[in-house]
Amino acid sequence: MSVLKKTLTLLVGNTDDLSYLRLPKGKIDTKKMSERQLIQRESEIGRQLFGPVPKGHQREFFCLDESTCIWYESYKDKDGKQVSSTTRYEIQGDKVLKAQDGPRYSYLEGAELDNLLQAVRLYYERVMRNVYGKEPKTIHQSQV
Amino acid sequence: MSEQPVQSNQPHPAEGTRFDNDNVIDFRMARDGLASQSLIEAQRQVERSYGLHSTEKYAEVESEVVQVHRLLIEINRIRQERMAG
Repeated sequence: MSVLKKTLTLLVGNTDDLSYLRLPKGKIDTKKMSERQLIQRESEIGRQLFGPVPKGHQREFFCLDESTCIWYESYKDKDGKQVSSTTRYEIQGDKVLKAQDGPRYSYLEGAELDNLLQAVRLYYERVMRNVYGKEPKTIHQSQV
Repeated sequence: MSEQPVQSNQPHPAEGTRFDNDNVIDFRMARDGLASQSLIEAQRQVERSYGLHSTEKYAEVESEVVQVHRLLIEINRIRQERMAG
């Protein structure tokens, strides 16, 4: 019997079921992961923020750096041709620049801006909890 | 106060608060009286009272983008910490 188990037996009496000591499902040890691997984990969460990914589509959504988010979508069209698009959202001061293949540039506004901001908030909350095991900070409007 | 209030009714896009000094005081009084509402709501109410409707949406969007930028900065900080072990 290990020292840990003996100690637990003294403290809680029953050590038959120690499952509560395990990390919750979905959380993994990220301490030895590279930036690429961490971003992949984040993107697993990010891609779900905009509803179900259609069958045959590949979607990625992640925060690349301190001011950039990336949306990547890939799928085959009706002719079987592979179609992919990458959209970069870049925060510039109090605006968000949307840069797409082409290149096409525009500043987000209206519902599109609102939706992106809401998505990033959700991304932050879920990534902090499920990738990094941290409680997200609550940010209120009045703190601005 | 030793400084003279800035006399300008023009909103200044580069500043978070677009009131002259006298109006800032009015704004704070209104805010205190609206403790149950958010600061943004209080700001809107004061902006309406001064006829600054045109800046209302701008102020809200500005603050939300800044908030979200902070979240991205926080995620990156945590990510860098994890990468460093």
